[in-house]
Amino acid sequence: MTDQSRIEIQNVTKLYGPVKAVNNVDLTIDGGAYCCMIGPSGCGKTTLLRMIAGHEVPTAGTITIGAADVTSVRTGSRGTALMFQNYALFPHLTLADNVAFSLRVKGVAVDQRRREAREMLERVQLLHLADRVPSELSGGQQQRVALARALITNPKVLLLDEPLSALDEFLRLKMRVELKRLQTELGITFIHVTHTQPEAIALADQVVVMDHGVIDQAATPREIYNHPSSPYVARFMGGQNVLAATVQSASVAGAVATGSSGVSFDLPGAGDVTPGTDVRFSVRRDRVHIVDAPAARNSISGKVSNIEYQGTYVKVALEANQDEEFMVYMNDEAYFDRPRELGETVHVAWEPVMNHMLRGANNSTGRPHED
Amino acid sequence: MSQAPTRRGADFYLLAGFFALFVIFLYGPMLMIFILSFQGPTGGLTFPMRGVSTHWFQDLWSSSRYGDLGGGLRRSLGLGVLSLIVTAVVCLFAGLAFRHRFWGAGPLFYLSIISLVVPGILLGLGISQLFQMMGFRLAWWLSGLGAHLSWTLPFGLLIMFAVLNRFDGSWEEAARDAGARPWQVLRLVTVPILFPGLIAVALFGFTLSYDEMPRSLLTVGGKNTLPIEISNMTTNVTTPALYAIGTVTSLISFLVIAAAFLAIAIIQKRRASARRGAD
Repeated sequence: MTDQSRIEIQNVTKLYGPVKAVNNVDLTIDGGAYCCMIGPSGCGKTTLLRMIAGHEVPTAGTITIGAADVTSVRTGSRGTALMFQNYALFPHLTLADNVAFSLRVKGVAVDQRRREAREMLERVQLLHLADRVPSELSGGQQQRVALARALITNPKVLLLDEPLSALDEFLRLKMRVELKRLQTELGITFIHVTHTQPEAIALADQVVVMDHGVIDQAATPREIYNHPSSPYVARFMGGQNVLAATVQSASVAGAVATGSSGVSFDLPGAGDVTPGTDVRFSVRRDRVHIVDAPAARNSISGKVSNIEYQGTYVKVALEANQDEEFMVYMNDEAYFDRPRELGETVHVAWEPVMNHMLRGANNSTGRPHED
Repeated sequence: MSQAPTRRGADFYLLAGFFALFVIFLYGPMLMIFILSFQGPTGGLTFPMRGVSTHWFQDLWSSSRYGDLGGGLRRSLGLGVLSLIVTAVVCLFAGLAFRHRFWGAGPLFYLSIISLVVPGILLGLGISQLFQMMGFRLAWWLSGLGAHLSWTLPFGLLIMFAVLNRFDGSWEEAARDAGARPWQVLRLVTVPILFPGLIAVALFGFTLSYDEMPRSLLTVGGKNTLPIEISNMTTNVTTPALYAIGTVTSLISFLVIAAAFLAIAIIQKRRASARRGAD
């Protein structure tokens, strides 16, 4: 099964007039993996998904599923099933007939397709509503019908276009668990387009971060979160401070760079960078500590510009003469032992190993929820 | 949140009066004709009523001095049905096509609705000349149909646009995603979902054709449609039979509309029972 549902995308480009919606993308998605494509609106993630589904034909490049080149294979016969963002349930058909639709167009006899549809509806716990029409259902129920309609085709790859965006927060978390459970159970490839970072991190085996029609980074969630490839990925995935500095010296152990305030930063693993180069690096917001006195290395000082209590931790924002605010995520107990005031100057320091050099050039802010 | 009873102001009564006038102007004339068509045998074209009878309806069928009313009615109904079918089919596909920005879509759209703007009598003249030049004899079912379509098609297309406005293209994508071929998408998804709107388009096709007169005058050839017959009557008939034919044609229009609504109701009921049968 896993080899059959492995997806290879090679040099795929999609042009809309002069606009490159997807620009020469290469990507391999392992069979049976849960892949999340994430990026701001207009980054090309949905176009890429629709090309895998066969609703768009690439301007150039090839898409392979299993061993078959499906680049120009008709949608509906390439082993994919797409779950639409608005579910696109047929308003004139009952739930049973909605789910049985793909069997109907294949010419399966009435009795058999009704039986199979009811089995599938039972699986998503909606059998008791089999004779209702979609308009009589809640959003969460409609989504489960859409899922049943997609799965009855026995797809090798299930494609989900922002499947959770129309649900309220509570239902979203519940369905997230359902999707993961279903994927483990079926063992097929899921490709899930989202613009919500926690969703991607929580679900995916492989996270694909896109911006302006190109893939910035495709890796495991831990890799993406701890070792973002570019300032854009670090900013977009969140949880990171992005700092700028100029390299002073480089050796086998790494580089030393100096920021605008004169503080030096150790950049382990960046020994190949030429002195004089301007670089950006990231520091996790939850791995920095407020200290009593300014430190000479791997530290920053600034005025407290905002404090937000988050329940399990406290977000302290510092104005530190950088392009963006420097954020410190503090353990709530540690914070309330010594609360801070707005405008107070505080000093922050961290271990040299926390500095992660961002080699990628993409510096766009890529704000989430840009809809 | 209890609302204190508010007194209706002068503006309310002013607007209500205006609305009443509007209703009287809209339905008053039709009502006059209905009432006068039941004029007594000795009555005339105007009030007062001299008794109440169905004399003029009988007169309409039995007398020969009113021209070929029966034939005109048959031809008008036939033409209406032809227009209905052609309008519904053409407007469905034209509407679907105009969802895409194909080459020349803009000019084609303006070309197709320009015949709404051109004076009907001139268009009729042009159509009769064109058909004769091409060697056809003018006939209600040929050049007459052409003239009527120049009126019903652009109307139908505009209604189709309104219908398609509420149509979500992702339904068709979902059908294709489930493996449906193009004709299956059309038959199982597009047409069933659009069906109520299509009935509206078809009804317009019928009613616009049924009472069409300026375009018909010069294009139907030797045998007249009902509106032309009635128009002829107004110049040489001076009895309430004129009102009787008005009542009859209005009744036919209402019957057609009622039949259409009945058809929708029956289809929906049949679908509902098909659902129950699936249990």
